[in-house]
Amino acid sequence: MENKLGALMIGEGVKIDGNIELSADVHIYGTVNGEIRAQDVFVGESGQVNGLVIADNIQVRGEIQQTVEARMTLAIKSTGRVKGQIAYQSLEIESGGTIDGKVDKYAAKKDNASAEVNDKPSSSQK
Amino acid sequence: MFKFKKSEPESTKHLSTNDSTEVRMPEQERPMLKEEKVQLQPSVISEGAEIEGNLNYPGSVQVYGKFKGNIKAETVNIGESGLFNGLLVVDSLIVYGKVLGEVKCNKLILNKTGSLSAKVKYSHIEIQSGAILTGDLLRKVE
Repeated sequence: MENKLGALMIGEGVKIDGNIELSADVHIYGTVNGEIRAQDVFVGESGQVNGLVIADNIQVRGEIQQTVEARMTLAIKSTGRVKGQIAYQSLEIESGGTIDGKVDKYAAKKDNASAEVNDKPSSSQK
Repeated sequence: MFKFKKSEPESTKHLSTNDSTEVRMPEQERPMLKEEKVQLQPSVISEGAEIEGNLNYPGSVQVYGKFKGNIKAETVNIGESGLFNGLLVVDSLIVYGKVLGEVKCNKLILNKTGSLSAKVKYSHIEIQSGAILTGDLLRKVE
């Protein structure tokens, strides 16, 4: 949060089909269909991501579907829903939050599951 | 005042010798009622104990030792020293220790010292930061 340069906010009602890549924070209150690579990703209660999210820290109050990789912390808040392939270094789920799918530690995923997700690990390592 | 109070127990003492059968009767009845009403004591597998097999218990089970097999219970608590390997079918599961295998539960609480590596079916989940969770998770739709 110290360096706000290049931060992105996607407001409620905004819909994006495409990929987002930046080295700062993304706040999502709208809908994103595609890939997000960022330092920190915050999905608000009205936010929804269908696709891939790779970031250091991910906080979910809305919904993420498909692939989630948190290099550090994945926090699912009470209204948060995460579904799909999930990898994390540290996980926290508040009462009420839901998680559905295949869950792995991030380090373990890099070793084992690199074959499963062809191009994604390489890009996440950059 | 005191004299009156003292006299009363004395009178009952005298009577008690005669009415001893009457006094015992309710005592015999009470345990019968208690057994029906009293909640089940928790079943505890202590630290150092190792068990292999199946456990069916309609109450609470606390595992501080090693358990390999299946547990069906109302509540299961895996203590920090506890290790469970097998199938757990419970209403609520609280984990401070380690669980491997398969879990079917309504409520799952994974504390910061807990580690759960299993196929999990749940309807309510809570995970503290620091806990380790790996495996396939499936939320039961209520």
